[in-house]
Amino acid sequence: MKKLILFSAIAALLFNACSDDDTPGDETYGNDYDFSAIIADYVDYTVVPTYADMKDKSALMLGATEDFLASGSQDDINLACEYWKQTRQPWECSEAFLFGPAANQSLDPLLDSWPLDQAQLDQVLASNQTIDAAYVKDALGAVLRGFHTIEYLLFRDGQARVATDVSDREKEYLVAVTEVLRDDCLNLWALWAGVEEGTAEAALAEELELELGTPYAEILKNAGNAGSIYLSQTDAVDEILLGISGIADEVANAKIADPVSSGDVLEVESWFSWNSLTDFQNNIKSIENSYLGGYDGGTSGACLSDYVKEKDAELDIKVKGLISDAINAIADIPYPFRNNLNNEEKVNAAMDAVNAVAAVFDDEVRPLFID
Amino acid sequence: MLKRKILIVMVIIGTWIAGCSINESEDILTPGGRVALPEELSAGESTVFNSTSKAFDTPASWVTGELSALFLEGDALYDNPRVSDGNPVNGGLGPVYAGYSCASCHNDAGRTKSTLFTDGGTGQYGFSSFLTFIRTPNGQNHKNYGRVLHDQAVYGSEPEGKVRATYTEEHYSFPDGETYSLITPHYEIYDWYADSIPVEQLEMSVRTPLRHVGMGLMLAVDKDEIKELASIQYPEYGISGEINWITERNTKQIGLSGHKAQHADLTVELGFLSDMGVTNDRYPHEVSEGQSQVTGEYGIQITTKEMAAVDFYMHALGVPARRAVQNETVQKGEDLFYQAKCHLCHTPTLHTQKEGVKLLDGTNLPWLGGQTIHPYSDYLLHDMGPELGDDYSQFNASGDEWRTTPLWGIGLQEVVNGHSHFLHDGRARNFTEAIMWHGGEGDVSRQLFSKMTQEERETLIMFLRSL
Repeated sequence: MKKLILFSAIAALLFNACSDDDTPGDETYGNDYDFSAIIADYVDYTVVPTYADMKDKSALMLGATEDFLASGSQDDINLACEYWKQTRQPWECSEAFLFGPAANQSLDPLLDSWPLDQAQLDQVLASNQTIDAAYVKDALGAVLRGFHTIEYLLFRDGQARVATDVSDREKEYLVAVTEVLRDDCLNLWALWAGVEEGTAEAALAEELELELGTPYAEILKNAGNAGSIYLSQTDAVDEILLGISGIADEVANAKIADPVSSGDVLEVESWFSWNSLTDFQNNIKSIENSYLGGYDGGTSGACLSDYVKEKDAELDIKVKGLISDAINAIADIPYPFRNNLNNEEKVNAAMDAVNAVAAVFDDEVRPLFID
Repeated sequence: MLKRKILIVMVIIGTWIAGCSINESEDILTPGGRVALPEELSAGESTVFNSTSKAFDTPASWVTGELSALFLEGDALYDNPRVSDGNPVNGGLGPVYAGYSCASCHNDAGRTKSTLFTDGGTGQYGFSSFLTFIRTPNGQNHKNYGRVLHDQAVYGSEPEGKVRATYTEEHYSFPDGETYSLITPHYEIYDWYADSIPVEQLEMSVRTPLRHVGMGLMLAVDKDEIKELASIQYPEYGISGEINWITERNTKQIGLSGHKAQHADLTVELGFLSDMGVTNDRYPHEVSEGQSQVTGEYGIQITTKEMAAVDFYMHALGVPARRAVQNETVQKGEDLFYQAKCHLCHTPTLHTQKEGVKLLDGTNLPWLGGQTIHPYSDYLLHDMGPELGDDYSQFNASGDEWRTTPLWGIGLQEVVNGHSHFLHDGRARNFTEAIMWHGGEGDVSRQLFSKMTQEERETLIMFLRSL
């Protein structure tokens, strides 16, 4: 592709070198291809199912933490840990689309704030303060809630904690903070999908006084039409493309690179569950889903890959290959990541593979879409 | 990298084809590989072709190699929350604070949607994303309080107070019958942690976060050009801009940043201390020092090197390219923008000084120098009338005076931050309301806008959306 652009630039210059008339014919910054189906199916088959799964799994996690509060049994905390991982999976599979409500309603920091404020949490636990969801939501800030707070209460050294080590205060906080996370997951899904009257979700949304407004699904699908915040469909497609290269960049050059370059295990995101390698792979699956459509084996519909294939079939094959290479290269880092920061060969291979995904989207795929 | 290769080829060919006076080495290419139109280039070499939610949070194209790593480091420090002392990383938050990270108020380098707009500031742990300045009528700090009301606190400390907003709505009509309404905010501080301050003893100004668009270029702007603009008056329109001469680091300087142009740098050190409670080499003592809830010295909580990374990040953010510049409606809207005299304060074109600009740590950024930029601001103070006034003067800026808001990127605020609240406290809910709040020196433009047809008003707003 680079060669092609170079060639075009040279050709344009050869033919127009002495003319003033070398501006493009396009009237606007955009692309007049009809992306309606690609955008609609991306929303309906990738984004909404991902968030729906997270909403459903978070409710199961809440149930498991409530059971654990009542029983104190090892089986129940084990199950809560399993549901934490199952809720974490769709969240990490959503990180290629951290635009819209996740960003502009600050749900990303509320769900996945890092680092955890363990020092404050320990003080809250040591106090006599009544702990419930309202207290966590309205009295404590963003750094005492979300996945990493729950993780701290459930896991140690990559395993479920010994049930008898968990204090009653910790169990109370666990249930409260999981309820808040369940509410945030519902909110995020509802802000995209809207809620249907008469459903359990609608009732909960009303109880939580969620301000839902126009579903983001509609805003994105309506791109380029009067009333949409997106001036063109190309802008909406560019959200998807830059979401993809953005998360690839973050995985390679922050999530993996930061702890590797500092050698500090405290810079590895999941301190207690040791779930990082799974998280990173799910981030790349988020890219795969955004490119190929669908979620977790569901319907895929029209997708970016269709358009790329139409314009440059070889590039489409290359992109698919690079995505699976990246997933495999991360899987190739020995578990757990925190104990293998100095495994230069595997870590560098993973960073290179993920960076290659970012580069192919920025340098080769994006130019096919953006004028 | 790609761009450089193409530029080299272009230069070679340009030289090779004799007799042509092309100047292709200046060309900037879009992601699709075409030469960008001059109208698209909001900020010269620092223009980024991105009209998505990350439009404000994208590095300029000159950020490569080691600069990319520094940009990422600054970005992470800007985004990741500070946590309280006693944690292994990112400590220093509080004991009292207004924001828990730069991004908590400047989400994606923009303007976080405030809970004040939705529920008056009561929900979601009362996090407003606003700054509330408070002082005595004599301009002094109140006993037990600082310059900003810290409405958040770490566990074990009390927020200094909470801010509540209620709005009253009034309905109006344009001469052609189209209706609009304006909401007037009423602010109240409650739950004071110490003695309540009676309203008559309280000067306060409630302010929305600024979009962090083009901050480096703003600091690099040619100061002589600003002085020149300040010397021009338009008595026929009642417009005369004024420089806010401020004193910072014992130096008299032209204020450029802040709603009242009350700062001459990007306030990284002040922001960490005053907004988050993170002490640093310039401000080593807790913002709440002297309060009973500050129990001791906390030491330096963010390194000078880390602050330099944040300072670099903010300077290196690109400015989104203008969109739809050849669209007829947008072009007509631009004409109407001039007809309404908006351009007399929202100056379309400025230039940056040749040498670029220096960061806090003295590093020079030559890439920001010698650029033609389109901030749509003169960075001067204008009297906007008592309706917008806050009775809160800062240096030369009186209560009714505000710095002309740069409009670059404004058309993308809703994409980035999910809302279209404008003006210093976000009281305008859309472009029309923002224009109709313009009083004082902005009154002529407001009148001219009012007298347009509905279609013309919408056309003018389409131009604003292209910025």
